[in-house]
Amino acid sequence: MVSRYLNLFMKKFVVVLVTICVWPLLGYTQSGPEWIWNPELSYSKDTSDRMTLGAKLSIFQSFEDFTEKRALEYIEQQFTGAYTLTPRWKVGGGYYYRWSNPLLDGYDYEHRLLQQAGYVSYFGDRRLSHRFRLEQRIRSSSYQNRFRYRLGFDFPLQGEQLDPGERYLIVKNEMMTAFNGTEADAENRVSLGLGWLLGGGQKFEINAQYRTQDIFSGDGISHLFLLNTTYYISR
Amino acid sequence: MKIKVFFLNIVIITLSAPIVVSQAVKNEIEDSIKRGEMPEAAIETLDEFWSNLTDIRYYFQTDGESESYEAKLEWQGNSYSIEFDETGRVLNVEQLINWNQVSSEASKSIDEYLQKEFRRVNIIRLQRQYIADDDDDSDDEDFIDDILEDDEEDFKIRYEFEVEGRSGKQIGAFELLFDHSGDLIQRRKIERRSVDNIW
Repeated sequence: MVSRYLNLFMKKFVVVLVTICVWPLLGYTQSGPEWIWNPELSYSKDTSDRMTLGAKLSIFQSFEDFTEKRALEYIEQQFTGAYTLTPRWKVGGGYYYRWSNPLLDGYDYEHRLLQQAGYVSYFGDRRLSHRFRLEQRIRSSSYQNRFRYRLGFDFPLQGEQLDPGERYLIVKNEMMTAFNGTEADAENRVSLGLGWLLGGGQKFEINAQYRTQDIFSGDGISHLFLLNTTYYISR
Repeated sequence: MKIKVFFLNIVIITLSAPIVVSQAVKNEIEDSIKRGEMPEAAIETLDEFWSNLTDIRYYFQTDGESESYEAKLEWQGNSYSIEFDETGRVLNVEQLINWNQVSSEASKSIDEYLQKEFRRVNIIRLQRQYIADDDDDSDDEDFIDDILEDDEEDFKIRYEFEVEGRSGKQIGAFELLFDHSGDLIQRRKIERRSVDNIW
C-alpha cells in the first residue's frame, strides 16, 4: 500500500519537476517570476571524528535568454569548516565569494563571511535539521548583515533505511532577514527535492525551490523559481 | 560558443547522475515489499498469530550473500520485528522496549558499562531480541507462542541498544549488543549519512 502511494507520489513529483523545467521555455518568462537553473558541486571531507571541511561550486543560470552571456548571473565558491560539538550539534563557519555577471564587462563581486550552528534529530534514517546562520555580505557597493534559519527534513523512499542506489525525498524551508539600517529585508525559500544516494559517499539531488523575495522592500514582493541540481561528494 | 559547450557539459554531468545511481553496487539493501512477495511459510506463521492485523509492514534484506525477510507490526501496544530466512523460517524476533523493561540483573551491568565507557550518553533505541533455544528451533509457532506468553525458559534474550554519546575520542551513534545478564557481546559505531545536504 505504502509503495503504491509512493509510486503515485513519484509520478506527480516528476510531473511537477518537468513542468518547472519546461514552463520557462514556453515563454512564460516574459513577465512575472524569474526562473533559474542552479547546478552545484559539493565536496566535504571528515578530517577527524569531529572536524569536517567543505567546498562548493555553484552557478546561477537564468532560463531567459539561456545562451546569452547575461544569463549567467553568478558563479559562487564556498569554503566551510564544521566542528561536531555533540552527536547532534555542529558549529562552523566559512567564506563565500560571489562573482556576478562574470561574462559581462564591469562585473560585481561579493565576499561573504558566515557563522552557523546546526542541530539534527534522527528518527531511524529520517532526519530533521535546524540550521542557524549569520552572514556578513561585503559587496562591491554595499554591506549587509543577514540572519537565516532553515528547517530541513529528508527521508528514504524505499524502506526504512537509505541504502546506496535508493532515492530519498528532501523538504526544506528557509527564512532570512537582513538587518542593517539601509537594506532591511526578508525572504523565504521553500523547496522540495528528490535525491539518489550513490555508493562511495556520493549523492545527487534535484530540488525545485520557490523564493519569495523583497518582502519588506516597499516595491512589491518578487518571486523566483529555482531548479537546483547538486552532486555531493563526501569523504 | 564556449558558453554553450560549458553548459552542455554541465547538463551531461547532472543528467548522467541518475544513470550512475542505477549502476551503484549495493552491498546492503533493505527494501519495502508487498505481502505477496514474502515466503509462503512466513505468511502462514504471521497469519497464525496476527491474521486480523492489516498494517503489517514487510521488508526484504540482503547483504549481497544472504537474504532475509522481515515483518514489522504493532500488537497490544508493543512493536515487534520478526525476521525470516529465504524459506520463511523465523530467525529472530525483536521487540522495541523501554529501559525499565530490561531485567534488573542486566540493567545494572549495562548501566555500569555505559557509565564507564561513555562521558555523555543518550539511549535512542532499545530492542529486546528473542533467540530460539535449540529445542524449539524447528517449530516457529511454538517459538513465537513462547515469546507472546513470556515463557522465558524456551528462548534466549539479548538487548540491542542504539546510543548517542562520546566514548574516548569517538563521538556519534553506537550499536551495543548485550546478553541476558548484561555482558557486552558486540559494539560498533554507526556510520551516519553525511549531513552536507541539510547542514
